[in-house]
Amino acid sequence: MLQKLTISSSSFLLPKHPAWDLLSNKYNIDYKYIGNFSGALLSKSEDQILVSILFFSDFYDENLLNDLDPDKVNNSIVDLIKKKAEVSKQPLIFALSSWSSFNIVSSVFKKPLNEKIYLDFISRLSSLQKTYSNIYFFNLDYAFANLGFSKIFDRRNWYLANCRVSDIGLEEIVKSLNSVLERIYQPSNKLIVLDCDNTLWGGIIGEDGIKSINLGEDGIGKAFLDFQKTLKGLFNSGILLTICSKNNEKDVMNVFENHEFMQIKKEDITNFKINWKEKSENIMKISKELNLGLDSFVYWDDNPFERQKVSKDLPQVLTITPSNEVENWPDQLRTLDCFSRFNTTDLDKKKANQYKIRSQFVKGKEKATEELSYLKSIKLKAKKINLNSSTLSRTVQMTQKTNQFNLRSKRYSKKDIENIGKNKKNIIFLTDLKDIFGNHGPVGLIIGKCLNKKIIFIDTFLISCRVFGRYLESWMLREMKIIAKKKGYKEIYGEYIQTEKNVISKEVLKQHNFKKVDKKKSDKIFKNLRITGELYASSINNIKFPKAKLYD
Amino acid sequence: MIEKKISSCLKTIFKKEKIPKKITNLKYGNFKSWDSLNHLNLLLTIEKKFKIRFALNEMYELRSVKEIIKVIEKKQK
Repeated sequence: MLQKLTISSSSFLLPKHPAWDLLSNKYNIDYKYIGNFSGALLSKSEDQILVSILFFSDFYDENLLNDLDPDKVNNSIVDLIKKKAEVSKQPLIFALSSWSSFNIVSSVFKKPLNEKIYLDFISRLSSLQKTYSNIYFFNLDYAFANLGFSKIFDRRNWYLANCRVSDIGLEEIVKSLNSVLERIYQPSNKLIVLDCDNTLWGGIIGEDGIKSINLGEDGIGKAFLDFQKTLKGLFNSGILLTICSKNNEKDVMNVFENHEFMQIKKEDITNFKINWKEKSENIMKISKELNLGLDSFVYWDDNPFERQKVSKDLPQVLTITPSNEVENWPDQLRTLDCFSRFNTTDLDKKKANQYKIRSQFVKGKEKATEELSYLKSIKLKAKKINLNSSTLSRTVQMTQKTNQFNLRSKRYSKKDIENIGKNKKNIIFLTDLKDIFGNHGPVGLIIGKCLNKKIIFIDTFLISCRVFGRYLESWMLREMKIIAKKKGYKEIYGEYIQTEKNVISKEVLKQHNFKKVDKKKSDKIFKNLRITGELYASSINNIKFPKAKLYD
Repeated sequence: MIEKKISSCLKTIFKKEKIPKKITNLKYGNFKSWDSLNHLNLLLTIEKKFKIRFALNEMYELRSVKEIIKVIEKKQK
C-alpha cells in the first residue's frame, strides 16, 4: 500500500501531467486540492502527507502596484497552517515561491511587495516550526534560479489555465519535493570512500612525487584544495571520511603528513585502506570494521574503470560519477542529496571520533589471539544510569534509532518512557561504557515490565553498534537480574522479534541460558501483550552470565 | 514520423486507453479521459517532444490530431 500524499497549491499545477510521475510512482497522490490549498488545510484527514505549493503572487494582484500590509495577506494563511499542524500526525510540507516580475530601479528604495510578504511569512512559519516539528518549508526560488526564472514561469500557461509555470517549472517543483520527501523517510548516507590520485590531488603520487602533485592556491590545484575543504565541511558535520587507494601506503601517508596544502588531516580519516587489492574488497572491509551497512556508503573516484567495478560488485554503495571537470567538484559535492540533512546535532559531530575508536577496537581484536585476554586488557567499565529528566531524551532517541542489537525494536515517545518509569514495579536503566579507547557515553538500555508478581518481561534490550563485541549484554542482564531479584521476581521472560537488521541479537537470550517457550502456554501470562516473535524464559537463578566477569 | 511521435505522446497521457494505429482522425473527446485537463497535458507533452511552442490562441484552437500535425509541419519549415 502506497502512502497517501495530498498535493495542494495556490494556482493550478496541471494534475496528472507526466512531470508528476516521479512522485506518483511512489505515492498515492490526491490532486483534489490543486488550486485550492486552503481546502487542503481545512480538510479533516490526519494521516496524509500534505504538500502545499504556494506562489505569493497568487495572494494579491500583481498588476496593481498598491502597498499591501503583509499581515493582511499572511494572517489567515498562517492561522490555517497552525490549526492543521495541531491535528496532523504526518509531515506538512510548504514549497514557496515569491518570484514576481519587477523593475530593478524601482526596487532600490522600495522593497518589492512579494519580498515583504515572503519574509514576513517565513518568519512566522519558523516560529511555528519550533512547536510543530512536522512543519517543513523551503524556498522553491533557489531551485528555479538554477534554470532561470524566464524558463520556469510561463504567462501563456497562466492565461490558459491559471498555471504559473512551464512544464520545466513543474518538473523542478516535483524534483525538489521528491528530495525533501526522501530525506524525511530515509536516513542520509554516513560515509564517503575516497580515492587519492587525481581525486584528493592532481597527479599520481607514486610517479610525480610530493613536490609535483597539484594541490595549492592557484589553478587546478585550487580546485582540489576546495574539494578537500568541502570534504572537511562534511567531516565537521559528522560524515565519515575514509580512503581507499591503490598506492604504496608510505607515499600517501607522506602527503597526508607533510604536504602543506592538505586540508584533510590524517586524524580526520576514520579508516585507511591503501594497498593493491580490489577496491570492493577494501570497501567491504571498511563496512565490517566500522559495523556500518554498505547502503550508507558513498564512493568518489575519478577513475571510471574502478567506479564501474565497484558499482557492479557492490550495488548497495552509491557510486558517484564526478564531473569531467574538477573545478565543478566542490559544487557537485556540496549539492549531493545523499548527505543532506535537515539539521546536525552535536552528537552527529562526535560520531566520527566514535567510529574511529570502533575501528581501532576491531583491528586490535583481530590481531589478538586470545579474545578474552584482549578484552580484559582494554579495561572495560560499565555503569548503570537511572532514568531522570536529563537522560530521558537520550533514552527515547535510543529506542528510535537502534536497529541491530535490539530484541524487539519497540519505538517509544517521551510520554511512553515517562509512563514506564512511573511504575516502580518496572525496571529501566541506561548503561554507560568506558574503556581505554575512550568514554562511549550511554550505549545500552534495558526495560523490564512487570507482568505479575512473579514474572518480569524484557520489553526492551538494546545496545549501540559502536560497542559490539564487548559482551556488554552479559553485564546488563546480570544487573537486571540483581534488581529483579530484589523486587521479588522469580522468572524473567524475553522475546526476540526479527527485523531486517537485528539478526545479531537473535541468540542473546539463548546464550544466557534462557529456554524457548511455547507461545500457547504463555497466552495467559501475556494478557495485554501480543507475542509475535520467539519467546524465551528462565527462572531467575538459572540465568548464566559467562562473560560478565570481564567487567569485574 | 510526426504521427509516430504524436502517437507516443498520446500513449504517455492516455495510459489506460488503447491508441489506434491510425491516429489522424482522433480528436478531443474521443476517449473518456480526453478531457480539457488531459488535452492541455497532451499539448504540453507534444511541445516538449517536438521542441516547439504553441501560441496562446493555438492552444485554444487545436482540437484534433489533424490540426496539430498541420501546425507542427508549419513550425518545422
